[in-house]
Amino acid sequence: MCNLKWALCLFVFLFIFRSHAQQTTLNGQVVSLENRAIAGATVKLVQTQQIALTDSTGRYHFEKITPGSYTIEVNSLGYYSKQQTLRINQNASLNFVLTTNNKALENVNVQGKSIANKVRDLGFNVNVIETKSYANSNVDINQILNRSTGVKIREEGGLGSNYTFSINGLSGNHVKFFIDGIPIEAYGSGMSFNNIPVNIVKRIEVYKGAIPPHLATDALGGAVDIITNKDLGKAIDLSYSVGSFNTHRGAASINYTLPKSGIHMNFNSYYNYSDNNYRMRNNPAAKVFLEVPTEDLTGFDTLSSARRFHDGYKSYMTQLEAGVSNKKWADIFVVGLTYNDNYKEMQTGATQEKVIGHVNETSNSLIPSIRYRKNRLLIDGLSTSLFANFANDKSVVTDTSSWNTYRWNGKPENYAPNKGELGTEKSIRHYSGYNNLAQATLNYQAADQHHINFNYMYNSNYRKSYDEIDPYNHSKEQSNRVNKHIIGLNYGTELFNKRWKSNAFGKYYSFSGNVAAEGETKNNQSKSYLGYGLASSFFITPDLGIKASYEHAYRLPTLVELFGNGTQVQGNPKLEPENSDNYNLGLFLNKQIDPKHHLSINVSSFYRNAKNYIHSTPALDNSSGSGTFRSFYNFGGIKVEGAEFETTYSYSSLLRFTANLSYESAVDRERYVQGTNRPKITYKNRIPDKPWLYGNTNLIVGQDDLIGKNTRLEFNWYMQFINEYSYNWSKLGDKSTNFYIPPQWIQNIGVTYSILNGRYNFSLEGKNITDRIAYDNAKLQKPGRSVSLKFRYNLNFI
Amino acid sequence: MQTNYLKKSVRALALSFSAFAILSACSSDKDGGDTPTPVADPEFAVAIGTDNGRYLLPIQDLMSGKISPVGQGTNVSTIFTWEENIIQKGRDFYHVNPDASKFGKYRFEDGVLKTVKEIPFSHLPSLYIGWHIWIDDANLMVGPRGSNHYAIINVKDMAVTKSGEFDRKDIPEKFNRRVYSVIPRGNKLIIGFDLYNEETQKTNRKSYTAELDYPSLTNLKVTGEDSKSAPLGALRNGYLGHLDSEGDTYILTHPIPLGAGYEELPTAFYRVNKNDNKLDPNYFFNISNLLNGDQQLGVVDLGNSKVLLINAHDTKTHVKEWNDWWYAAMWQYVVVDIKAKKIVRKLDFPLLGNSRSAVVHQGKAYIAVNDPTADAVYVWEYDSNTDKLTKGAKIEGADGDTPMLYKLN
Repeated sequence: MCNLKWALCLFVFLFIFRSHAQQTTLNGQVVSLENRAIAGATVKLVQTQQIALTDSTGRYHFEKITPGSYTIEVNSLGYYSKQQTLRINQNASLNFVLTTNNKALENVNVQGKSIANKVRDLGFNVNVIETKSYANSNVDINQILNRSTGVKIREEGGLGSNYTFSINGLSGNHVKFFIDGIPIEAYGSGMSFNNIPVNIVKRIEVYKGAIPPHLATDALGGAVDIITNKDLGKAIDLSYSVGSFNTHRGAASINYTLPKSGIHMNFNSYYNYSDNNYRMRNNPAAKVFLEVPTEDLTGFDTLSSARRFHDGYKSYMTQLEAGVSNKKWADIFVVGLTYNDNYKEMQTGATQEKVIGHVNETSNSLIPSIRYRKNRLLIDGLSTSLFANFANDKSVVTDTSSWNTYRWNGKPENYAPNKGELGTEKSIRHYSGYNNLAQATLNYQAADQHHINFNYMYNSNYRKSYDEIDPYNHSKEQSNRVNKHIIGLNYGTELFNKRWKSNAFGKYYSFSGNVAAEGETKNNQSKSYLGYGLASSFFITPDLGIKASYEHAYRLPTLVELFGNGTQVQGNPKLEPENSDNYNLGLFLNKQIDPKHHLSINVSSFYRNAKNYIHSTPALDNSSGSGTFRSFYNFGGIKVEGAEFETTYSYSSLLRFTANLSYESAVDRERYVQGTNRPKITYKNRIPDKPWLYGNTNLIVGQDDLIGKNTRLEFNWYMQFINEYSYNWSKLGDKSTNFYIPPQWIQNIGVTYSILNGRYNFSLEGKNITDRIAYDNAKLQKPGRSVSLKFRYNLNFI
Repeated sequence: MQTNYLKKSVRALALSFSAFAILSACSSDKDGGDTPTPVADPEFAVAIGTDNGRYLLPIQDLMSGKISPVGQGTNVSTIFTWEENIIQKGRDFYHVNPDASKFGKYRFEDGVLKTVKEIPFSHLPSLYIGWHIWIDDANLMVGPRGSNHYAIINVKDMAVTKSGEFDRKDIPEKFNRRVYSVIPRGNKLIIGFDLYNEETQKTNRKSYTAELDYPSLTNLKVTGEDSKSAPLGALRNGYLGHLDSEGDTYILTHPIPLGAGYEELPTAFYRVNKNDNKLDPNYFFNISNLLNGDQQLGVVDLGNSKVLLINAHDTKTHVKEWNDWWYAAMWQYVVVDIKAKKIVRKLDFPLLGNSRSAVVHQGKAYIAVNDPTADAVYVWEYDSNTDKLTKGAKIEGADGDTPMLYKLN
């Protein structure tokens, strides 16, 4: 029923926008001197500030233009800008031919080259992913990121499942996530990269090792920033998909600016639902067995497969921003309200052996926010942006099974009226808290070749919990608070006619925290640290460049790591911040071989030396006698060395092929067993249960106007490879007892048919089409073969 | 000329990058590893922890050479998912897996652990075992921590023959019985327990004994109460809770604050005389009183009325937070004489990491000594007759977790 409502809403929006009175239109095509279509070029009506992007055929389109004289400006990465003035009285057409500007080619690993992004040429090791080419796919952010070099996302199941994100071998909390430069935790616990659909996202930036200070954060291994569709003038993107496992996903992204009054509105929303009832498979090669008791309960039978039966997931999010733009005192000033709501059933524990049939979690967050940006503040060259929000977060974990055990046949065993599945007794645990965030940025262009950036971030996180079933047991109550201040200062230069670009930066981290658990002494701590780094790039030739970056980074313990959450995590107030020295060195080539052939190659190597490494292991012990607790400890750390390679070849708009391979070897860097004089036997050994060689290929073949004018038919084949890896320390134990997770080859195909220059898009997609058994984390099986159908409506008015 | 040089340099650089990337990617697993030596069925085994997995290793010689997990033994982390749920008898290991709700029988032979049989096991409200007893060679009785429930498993047939609750008729309203120990005495069982108020979540601070008929498990009679120490028996499964000496049964209490909730009381031995089923009112051995108020855990019966305990030394100084119970170097091996009610000696080691492991063989005790100042865990031999300590085999690769020794024959 909800799905129907959602679909109805989308079509109401569609109708409203379609019925808007039309005046006149402007369209055309942007091509290079070689007559090659330029995709993603920005076409701007200077007088109204309306913007359109060219599609894969180089075409753009404006609607509802008031007749008059306009200056049209075209910009595209790697080309000189062009302007032309035109009087538009009725529907008009205007084509542009751009000249190549090799000096402007960016020096980063880029998938798609549509947005002229200053970040790319700062020397940081960054993947910039334009999501436009994925817009018709039924994917979320994680699935796109998983195709990128050096990134490994280890999911525990289907839609909405928990996941571990790894960048160049550092994973989990060592990586930080942002939405529009704001830490994702500021948006409440329900916001996650595996439920945000691609259609509300414009671009994703993945920083590896060294993180620019504009992302004011404490991250050890990297950061991911997703830039949503905002401030685009007038645009609408609506999509809905339906697929296997009763999966429904909808997304809406609407941007609207009234040119005269400057009134400005951004609306983003999504809805996800899935039963996630995919088949689990018996897999002796990985020592995974789906055991169910024999009828006489004297032993176990092994099922060849079984459907998941308690893994439903539902989430929705709505974000509305409204305010003004293009005022004297503000380029943008908006207030916003974000609401997200999640429902998630739990199917397994930390491994598939623990089958859960009754535990679920609900959460919701309400987040008012304010955002301000001014490009010229008091003096030339000085700009600022401010952001503040207040996330009010609530979640409930309900564990009231009354059964001792569930098996993979979905049947419970042994009724026990007081029994929970996570704990030995029933519980309904409530968590509530808030996250306050304030962020300020000042940029000053001191001269043409020098600029300074200052960033400040304040974050206060508070959380308390209690058990509704056992409210008098204060051992389950906790109230915790962590405050963080992070200050970043960056100095950038662009020398030798902008061929050599460098950024030197420092970061100051300060945090304080306290926990007040009933009956225990209040625990306080306060510390500060200083990090620093350098990023530089140099163009050897217009097509070829080299880049290097370094950061001495810190990551502060989180609220849950320090103080626990009363359910799965037992706190460790003695945790120290972890730190790492991160080095990157890369070489890149971006070559337009001839008008139709284009080749790009990126090779890079990296080294990480992480100390005081915060790592989660099962808690050594706890008084409740339950094995579900985990604790975070400081370990000696790991060293990671690796290399990655990516190449993309494209032939006009007909073919595009990308292949990449990532190698990373993470080894134990702790010489002695902690707290002892004993040499550690795993010193310099590769960390087990961690993929160390993986890659992807992606082939897109498309043809315009094949089935009618202004249509495009596109075929996509995406393959993912993960080499076999050891589940244990491979040198320890008798060889006959060790085992490896077998190599994984996952194939996905899709076909998209677009009409009216991409306004209406229909996609049919098959994932894991050969139905291979796939694992990411601790042998938790991911979905097998699935099929989905997606409809997308996309319109840039403008 | 300069351009050519530049081109060559660039090419060389690019090739170096590619070569590095490809060679790195093709390099074999770094772990390498020594070639394992063939293992004859050993007399002893030891379980040690590493950062990522716990290994059960064969021991050929307790008193010389090296014992190492490199190329030998079995990673038992996915088999023994909860250390305290391990029960060992000879070459056979038994384990209740709380996650998978199964009871398994495993045999350590040819230097590796092999699965004999696993059966569904969800007969207890909690599968975290608090105590176990061998009623005979085939029948194993287990119960959860802090519970009145039990299950009996025939380990030859691998079948649960009986399960349920001990008779509740004398339990006051709102209270539950928490059984700490079950001791077989012919056709009777003695149980040690306390009473726990489910509403207030507190005990009435008394320790009780009761007897009941075996095998019917009926006719439960409370035989006494006491409040000088904690309830009778081990705190958790795996610690020495009682022992027989010349027909009398000595029962150790564990008030140590690792979940028992009697931390203000002393550790003590009680006694049940050979022809009786209730506590001897004339016997109470207050060990803490002789060790400056420290509390102890049971390790092993050395024979001749000597018992090896592990002493948590000066916990007020050493334990700042919960994990210190496991990480802090504060443990001392202590030999006590339960008849003479005196401390025989503290074994001459520095303060140790968490320890509870020793086996007795041919009258001598062998202890895996978790000394953080040494370059490895070593096996030490203690001869209680001569009161002599001798250093033995080196156990390489152990982390700070408790190393556990097992005698397999």
